[in-house]
Amino acid sequence: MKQTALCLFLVLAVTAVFGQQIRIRGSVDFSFNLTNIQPGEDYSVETESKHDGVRMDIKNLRRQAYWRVTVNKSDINWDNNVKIYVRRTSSGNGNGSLWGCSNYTQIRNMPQTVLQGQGALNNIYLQYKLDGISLSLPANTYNTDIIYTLYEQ
Amino acid sequence: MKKLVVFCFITFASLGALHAQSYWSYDDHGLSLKMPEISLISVMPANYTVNLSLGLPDRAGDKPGETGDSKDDNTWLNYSCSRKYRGSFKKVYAQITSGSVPDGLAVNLEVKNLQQNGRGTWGRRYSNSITLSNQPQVVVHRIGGGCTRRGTSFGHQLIYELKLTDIDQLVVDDDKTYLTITYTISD
Repeated sequence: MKQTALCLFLVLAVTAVFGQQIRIRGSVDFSFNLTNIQPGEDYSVETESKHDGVRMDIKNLRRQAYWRVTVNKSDINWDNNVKIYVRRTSSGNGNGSLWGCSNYTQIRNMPQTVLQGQGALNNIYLQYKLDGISLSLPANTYNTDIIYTLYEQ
Repeated sequence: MKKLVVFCFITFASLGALHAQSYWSYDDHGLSLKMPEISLISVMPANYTVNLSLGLPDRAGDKPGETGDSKDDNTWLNYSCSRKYRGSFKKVYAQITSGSVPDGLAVNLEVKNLQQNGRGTWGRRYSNSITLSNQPQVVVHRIGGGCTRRGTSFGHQLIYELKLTDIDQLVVDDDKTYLTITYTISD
């Protein structure tokens, strides 16, 4: 029994040490109220989140390994008339480097590569933009999950 | 013990093999959008006062009124509205909330349909015209999620007209009568 536990611990430890990891911190909440419009007006079609509302860390890579990140969304209840875009507003801290996603890219339900890089990086800031906001959208709270997947190459 | 060693060896070998190739990890976060149910209405231009006067007859035997001064078409009704999925359409009600129309007279209100498109589902006028009273009356109905756009020449043009209804009850008075007309948007 003791030996099995030791073996399991070793496996988990090795996985933790060698397994590359993507970590997302933060969430994004867009909210509108009466102060956003005057009678007769519609909402502004586009709205942006804070530039540093969500942070991405990429760590536990093999030394200076190349990587890429895909993004997709998994809708809980989302209106397809509202499109979601993401861009990075920083290049992160660390010994690594990255490229891509400096302009807004639409997030779809199918994964697509948005970022590529080399080496570990922390605090890659992400900003979101919604397009298609209007009074025609039924009053509701809409939710979706934004999923980032890291592939070490 | 031998089995355990073999198991560990296979596990580490597999991990090493996996790590030598491409593999992945993922993380996610939530994104929410809160759209409240709203109803906003205003009359444009803001702070405009409608002045209506009956006008004097030109000749003996004619009725007073029905001159250009008895009509005003300078105001416009603007609104923005959203509703829940399959929620009820909204209506606009008009009523006199302070003051009263002098005896022998009536104030009629004609609400025009939109001359320039709004956005989304805007409403339509409910009837050709109404006589304003202190009871709320529907003037626009079937407003869904949408807006008229903002400003004069957008939305529903409002045309007020002062009408002589009974000359016998008309009392000559130099004082002005002030009325407040209130528009309300609701289910």
